[in-house]
Amino acid sequence: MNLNPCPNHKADIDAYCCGHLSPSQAASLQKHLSECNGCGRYYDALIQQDTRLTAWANSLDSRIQAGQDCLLQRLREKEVYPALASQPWPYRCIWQLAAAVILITAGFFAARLFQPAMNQEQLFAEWSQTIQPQIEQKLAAAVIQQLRPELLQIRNDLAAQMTAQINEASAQSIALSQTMNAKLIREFAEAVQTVQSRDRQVVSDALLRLEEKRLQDKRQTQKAVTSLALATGEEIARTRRQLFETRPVLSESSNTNQ
Amino acid sequence: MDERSDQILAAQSRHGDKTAYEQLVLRHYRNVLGLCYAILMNFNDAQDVCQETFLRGFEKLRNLRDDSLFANWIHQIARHMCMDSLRRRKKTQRFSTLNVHPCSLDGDYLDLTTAIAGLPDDYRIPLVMYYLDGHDERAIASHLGTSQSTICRRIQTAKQLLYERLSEYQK
Repeated sequence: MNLNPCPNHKADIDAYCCGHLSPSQAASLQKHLSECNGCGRYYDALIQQDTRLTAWANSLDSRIQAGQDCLLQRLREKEVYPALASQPWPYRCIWQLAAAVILITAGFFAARLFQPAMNQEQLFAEWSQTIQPQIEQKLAAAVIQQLRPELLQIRNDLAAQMTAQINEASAQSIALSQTMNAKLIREFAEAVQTVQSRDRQVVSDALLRLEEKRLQDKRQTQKAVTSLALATGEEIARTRRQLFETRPVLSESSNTNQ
Repeated sequence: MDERSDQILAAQSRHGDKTAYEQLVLRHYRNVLGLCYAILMNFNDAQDVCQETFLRGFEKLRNLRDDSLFANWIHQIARHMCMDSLRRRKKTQRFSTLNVHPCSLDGDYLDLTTAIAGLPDDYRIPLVMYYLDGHDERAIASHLGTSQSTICRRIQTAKQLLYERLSEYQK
């Protein structure tokens, strides 16, 4: 049988069954439950199931209690102490570690005690022939192996330091040369200006002299032209006079020739 | 009931105080059992798994990083052990000639337990935990990682579904 409560009241009924509604909301819902058949049946069904489930849970109570008691009994009989179990690994294995250390120490001393005795010189000769070169070779290799990174590091550091110093010196020399260049350029500019002003003065003096000379020449030329014009005028006048004076003579001579 | 918090009791248990751990057992046994029963739907299996859960919890307390989260931690262990138990049950059922229903040992309430077993997980687990743990919605909501109102709604919906299924059985 399907239950069909009002969709907008279902949540309220659920909350009411859980005891989540306020007294006023509960009173309002109770009124609705008494009026609405679908919601009333839904609520009754929930109450019925609640009763049934509570009875079912109560029927399990004795078994739950027995199980709980059994667990507590098993817990009391349990020999593992959490404090010991909670210790980190080395402490938990302390006895195994101690036994291992004792065995290793005993083995070491037993080996030393029962090893065959050897002649010291023979042992040294054998050592110097066979083991010493190997040790030296391995030592050298190990030293090189170990020192290589440090040497590389030192080389890199030195290179970096030299690069930094060179850069610094370059920057200083560039700055110095720039200063010197600026000074030289300034001096050169001043010299050029001096020379230019002197030349300008010379040129202006020369021009002045030329102008004076030109004016002087002009005046002389005008004077000469004037005197020449006067002389020419006088000569023309004299020539004209002579011409007038000589004209009768010429006419007589022409008549004579004819 | 001991008024010490879970945090204090867990810390004391870690240092070997069995009475403190007994208090934790008394406080959380029903809730964990409810979870186990809801997953396994067999009371005897649930009791066994619940007991093993608490014993394992006692051994593994050093793994608990935050003592205040003991309840969630023990529920997590219970959940894993239930999953292991379900896997073992499937293996044994494969080779078993008897097809025993998981609820068949639960006596007078066979119809009810069968109907509960048929509910979806989201409804079955809060419903069983609610009735086995004395109607503590807040604790259930905390363990299942949801809100109290959601738990309430799911429980009521579960009861509605139970009513409908039991009505069908009676027909």
